[in-house]
Amino acid sequence: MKEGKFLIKDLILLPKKMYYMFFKRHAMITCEEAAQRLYEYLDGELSPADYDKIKLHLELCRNCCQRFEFEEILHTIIRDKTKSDKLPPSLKDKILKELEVKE
Amino acid sequence: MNIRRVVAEHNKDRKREFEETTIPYMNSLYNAALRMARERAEAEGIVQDTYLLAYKNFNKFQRGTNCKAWLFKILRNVFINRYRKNIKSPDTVQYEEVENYYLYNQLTSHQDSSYIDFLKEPGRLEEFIGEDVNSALQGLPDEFKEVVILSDIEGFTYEEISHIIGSPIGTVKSRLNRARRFLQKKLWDYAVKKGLVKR
Repeated sequence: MKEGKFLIKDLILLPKKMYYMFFKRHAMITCEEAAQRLYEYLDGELSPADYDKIKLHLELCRNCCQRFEFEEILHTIIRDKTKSDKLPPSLKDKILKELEVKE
Repeated sequence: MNIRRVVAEHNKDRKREFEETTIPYMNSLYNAALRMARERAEAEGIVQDTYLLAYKNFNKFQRGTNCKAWLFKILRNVFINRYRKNIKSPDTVQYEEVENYYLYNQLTSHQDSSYIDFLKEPGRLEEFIGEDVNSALQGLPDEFKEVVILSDIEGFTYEEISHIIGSPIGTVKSRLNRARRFLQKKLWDYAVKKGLVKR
């Protein structure tokens, strides 16, 4: 193989064992592992490689896919429904005045 | 210019900078305080103390770093000191373990198959649990409540939360997982209590 160049025909010539290694690295995770990482997935906290693993699992596993979809909707509802209370306007004035005194 | 005027000018600048940097987060701080302390007067007191403490320590704040997280860390300390209670580590306290996908499992395994519609219609699910989300959150133990507030309401990353509560990221992760499953159980319990579903 020429240095720095990678051709498709080289890939075809790879021994079987190397294909196996490639797929093992990207291999399916179990449903249990997917469930463990559910919230990291929803919170956008997964590394790109782990994200891909979950995505692949969800594409191939209908059960997990349905559960993840449900959790995603629930997650959004919880975030939307915990809207904030208004800050009492007097509080800001009170704090600003106290800082004045502290000077 | 005499020295007194120079000092006065300097203080004025410092105060202005402090206000510009911190005031935008007052609403968030107030809301978190209100959820943790439950009472308005208490929440106001906590936010006031937070600002005074932050002002006193403003020279320790590194410009350009995350001011919101810095303020939340102070708020948390004020809260803990005020109530002289430690936010216990749930890892040392026994809480009922709730299974993964709790709410999903309850809805799908229920005899009345109409609950399965909730899975297809987000609007109905929202109607079903929407009003109870705040009470359910309120009912969580403090150590679970705080991570949910920081993540879901304030949108902090795991790393920021880890900094605020002074625990490793792994702890933040597992605490959030448990807190959210706990919250799902509370939501289901509310639905049962209100007669929305039959046990």
